[in-house]
Amino acid sequence: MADTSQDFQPIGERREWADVQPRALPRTPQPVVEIGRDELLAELMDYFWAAVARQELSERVLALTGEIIADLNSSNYSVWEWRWRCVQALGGVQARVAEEKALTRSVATANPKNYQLWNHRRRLALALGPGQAEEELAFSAACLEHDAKNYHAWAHRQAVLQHLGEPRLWAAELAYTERLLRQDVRNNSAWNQRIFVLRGAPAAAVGAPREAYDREVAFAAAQLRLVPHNESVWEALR
Amino acid sequence: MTIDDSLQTTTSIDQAELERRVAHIYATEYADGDEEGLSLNPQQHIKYLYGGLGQLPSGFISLDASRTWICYWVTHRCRPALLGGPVPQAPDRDSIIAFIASCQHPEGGFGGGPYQLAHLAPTYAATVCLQLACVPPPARAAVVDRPKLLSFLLRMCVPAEQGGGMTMHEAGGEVDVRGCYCALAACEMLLLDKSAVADACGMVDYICRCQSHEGGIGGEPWNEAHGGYTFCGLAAAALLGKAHALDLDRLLRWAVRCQGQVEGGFMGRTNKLVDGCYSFWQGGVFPLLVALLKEQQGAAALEGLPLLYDAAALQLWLLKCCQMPRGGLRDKPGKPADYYHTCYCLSGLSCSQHYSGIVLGGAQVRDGSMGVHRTMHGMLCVSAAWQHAFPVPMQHTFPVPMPSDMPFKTASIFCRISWSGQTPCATWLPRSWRRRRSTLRELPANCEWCQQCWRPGPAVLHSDALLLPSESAVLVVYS
Repeated sequence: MADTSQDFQPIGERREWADVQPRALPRTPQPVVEIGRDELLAELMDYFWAAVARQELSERVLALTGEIIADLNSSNYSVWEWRWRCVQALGGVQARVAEEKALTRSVATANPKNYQLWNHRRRLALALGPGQAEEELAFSAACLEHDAKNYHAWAHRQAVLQHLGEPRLWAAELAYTERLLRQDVRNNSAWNQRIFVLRGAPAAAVGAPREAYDREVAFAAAQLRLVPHNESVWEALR
Repeated sequence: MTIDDSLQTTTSIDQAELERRVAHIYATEYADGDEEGLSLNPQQHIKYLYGGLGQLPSGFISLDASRTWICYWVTHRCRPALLGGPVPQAPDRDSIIAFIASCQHPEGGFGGGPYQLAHLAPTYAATVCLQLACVPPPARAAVVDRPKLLSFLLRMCVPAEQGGGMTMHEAGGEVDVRGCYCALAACEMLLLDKSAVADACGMVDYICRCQSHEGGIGGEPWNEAHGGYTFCGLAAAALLGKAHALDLDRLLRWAVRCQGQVEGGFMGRTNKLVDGCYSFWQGGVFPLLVALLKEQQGAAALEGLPLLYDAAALQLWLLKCCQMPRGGLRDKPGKPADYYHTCYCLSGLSCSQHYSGIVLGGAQVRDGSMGVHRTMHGMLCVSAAWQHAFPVPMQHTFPVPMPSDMPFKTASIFCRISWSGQTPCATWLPRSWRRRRSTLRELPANCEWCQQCWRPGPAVLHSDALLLPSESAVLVVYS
């Protein structure tokens, strides 16, 4: 990632890239949805495309993808994908985990609705294995603290539980949704998550189906007594 | 107004605030029954959209991987047949086609810009752009490498035993229901084998697993029901002729409940705020459902079926709350316009007019053209799924400049070419033109867009070609 404490050095002047000819975008006779170039940062993409053309997976390319994501455009899926391939080529996720966690955390802070960020984070989590589950739940919970209905964050929790979750984490998920519903009983994402847990969890997590069902109906009824006009609950009951 | 049961939460506070804002707009700017104050302002929207087709400021860099999408959002609504404006001078059609071609990946499919990996979403957007750029089929084949595109789509399939569905890009893009629709719509438009793609990823089963307890469809199995994914899932299933595998009754009930009671617009999820773009994603679900119900139960069984949602309220929301006076349409009051919302708000308006036959503010548009053009503005959506619901030949529309000696106020004639090859070209004209047969021979020899469709000679009036619900025009077929 770019070290902002130093003056920015244009990539064309960096020694480690001296051997590479940048690859500018093809020109059309007339501009078509052509985005104006930021003179310094746009060059980063020219070097990135040159690296892709060479099929290069290396430390300098990894660093370049980080710089592009952090400073230029965090939504370029080709850059994220290439970054993943660099990580695989340079020792794999286990070796590079700290940097990937840091990058995804900083992008999530700036733009928590970014598809590529969550896809990268999910790939990371699945590659790291069951031991990673709690940290992922904490990561998504931090995002949900800012926006309790962030679709990607909820989907992330579902993926983590399904692939990496032990029974106690499934049970904890019900408690987590209850916490969020105490903050906002109308949070439909939280209600949806309850259905996910009750129907998808291993039996060890939520107990016998009949009892789980009765508890849930009682819970829903209690919420309805508080707020009868709550679409989410009626749907969950149905 | 929202009933908050004396327990305010973030949801109810935000909802109440929006309702206050919207109710104020309706009360002060729209008196009940006063349709004169309601109109679509096509010239302003065209100006806004065309501003995005050439050069964009550097702040758009976050959309650098979505340039084919921007092209689609702009050209889709910019079709002069929809908004009745002149054809842009620059960029010209050849440049647009050259740009789209430059986004094609050597191994098949399209990316969001040149050099980018192929991705299902820009593949869909690029395919639609090529249709809209009035490229006759043989020329389109010269741009798209169809066999490679099919092989790209098949590579994106996740085998059923690994969960099914499609990944958005190689080698590990996100898997969600959007991919299914993007892939099948592209197949439909390019005449590729949809069922080969669907079978390779257990698509129907995947979509069904994405239908949540609420009835709407989520991005992945177990995800919350969401308007965008619901349209994608239903449309993909409809394109395969397998939509009845879903619980359509439950889907319909969820979609209906997503219409805001005060606002008139649609929300994307239960207990969230309405947003102009869902006018298409949610609003577009209803005509599909009607078509599917007709298939299942026969048209007679649906005689007298009322409108499944309040179309007038939706159109009021779009015209009054989403339309910006200086051009473009937006999510909701308080938000700025953008190309995505302009595209889907107008698509939603078009869908609603066609589905319901209601054209709110149908008397006059601000640019003074005849009322019939308001109905013509509700032209067929380019969405392939829409075309499945209204089975007409794939087509596009574009204007022909009026000869200056035409005695009518209409701003443009709409020319329709059927892609079925040898069909002679046809023209939509207002019904009143029936009486002026002799004038038809004086129409110009060439269509400005395709340069090939007009042939001089007697015209034949076909009154049975009135396909659209609120149609008040006739089809002139050139023999």
